[in-house]
Amino acid sequence: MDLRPSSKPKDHNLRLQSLLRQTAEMSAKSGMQPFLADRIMRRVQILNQPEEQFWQTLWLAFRPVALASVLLILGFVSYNTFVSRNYEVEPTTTEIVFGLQPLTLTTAYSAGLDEFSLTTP
Amino acid sequence: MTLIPSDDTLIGRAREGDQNAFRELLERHQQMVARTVAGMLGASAEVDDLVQEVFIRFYKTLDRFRGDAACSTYLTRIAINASLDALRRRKRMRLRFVSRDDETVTLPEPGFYDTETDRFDRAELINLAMNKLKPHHRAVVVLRLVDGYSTAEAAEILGIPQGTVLSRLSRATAYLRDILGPVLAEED
Repeated sequence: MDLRPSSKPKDHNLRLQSLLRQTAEMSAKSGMQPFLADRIMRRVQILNQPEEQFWQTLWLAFRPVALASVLLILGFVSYNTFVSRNYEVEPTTTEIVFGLQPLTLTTAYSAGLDEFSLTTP
Repeated sequence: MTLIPSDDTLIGRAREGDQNAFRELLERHQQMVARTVAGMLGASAEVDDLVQEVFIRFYKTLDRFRGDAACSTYLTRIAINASLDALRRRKRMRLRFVSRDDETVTLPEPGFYDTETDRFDRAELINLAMNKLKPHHRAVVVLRLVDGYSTAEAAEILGIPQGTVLSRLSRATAYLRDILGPVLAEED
């Protein structure tokens, strides 16, 4: 017969504590992915430059559209410049760029019969 | 001889934008935070995400850290709050999709865990038993038994009176001792 004083509740508490610690350590190990510090620091860096990051993302997303627009505008300007060489009157730079007919007294009052034929009975 | 900078020194440097100082703090405390979060959530893929979240919250609130408490205590408070939020989210998801309230814990016979591999089953059982505790009881168990904080520190971290910590701990440990009886009796 065991006559030692019973210390089971205290032992159980210590054992419970030790088991809980071991289990938490094991769960932590199994739940963690490698390079935690690197991943967190990357997020911290993003937090530090939110505005710069925003404009960079916007530029990356719209870069093809922006480049295509610039090429299209340059194409139109070149075409307008090419066409404006045939005008009798020297056009202004604005007229060349936007492809406008130079407005003179002659062109303002030179509406031909063809233009009125559709509206005049 | 190289002096190891204290947490307060590193926090001061991190506040001034020194990211290496923050990294050092992170490496110093990541195991402790992971253990706290894993104690609260059990073995789960959420642990990694939540540990990241804890450090991001810490970084965002560096200016608010006044140094009244130790850095580790401050981090533990963030970890416990983040874990309680995660448990609330988990509960909402569970209620929405499937009820696991009927899940029963099957207890093994004493002496069942004889081999090294059985330690994993034992860990699973302990996690299941912890999951049965209410989140606020679990927080007390993790702080007192897993992290080793005193009753006063646990009360401060949770923002509750010391008496409440003691009563929650007593109820929780009684429940755990009851449910994990065979496991605790193994080495008697």
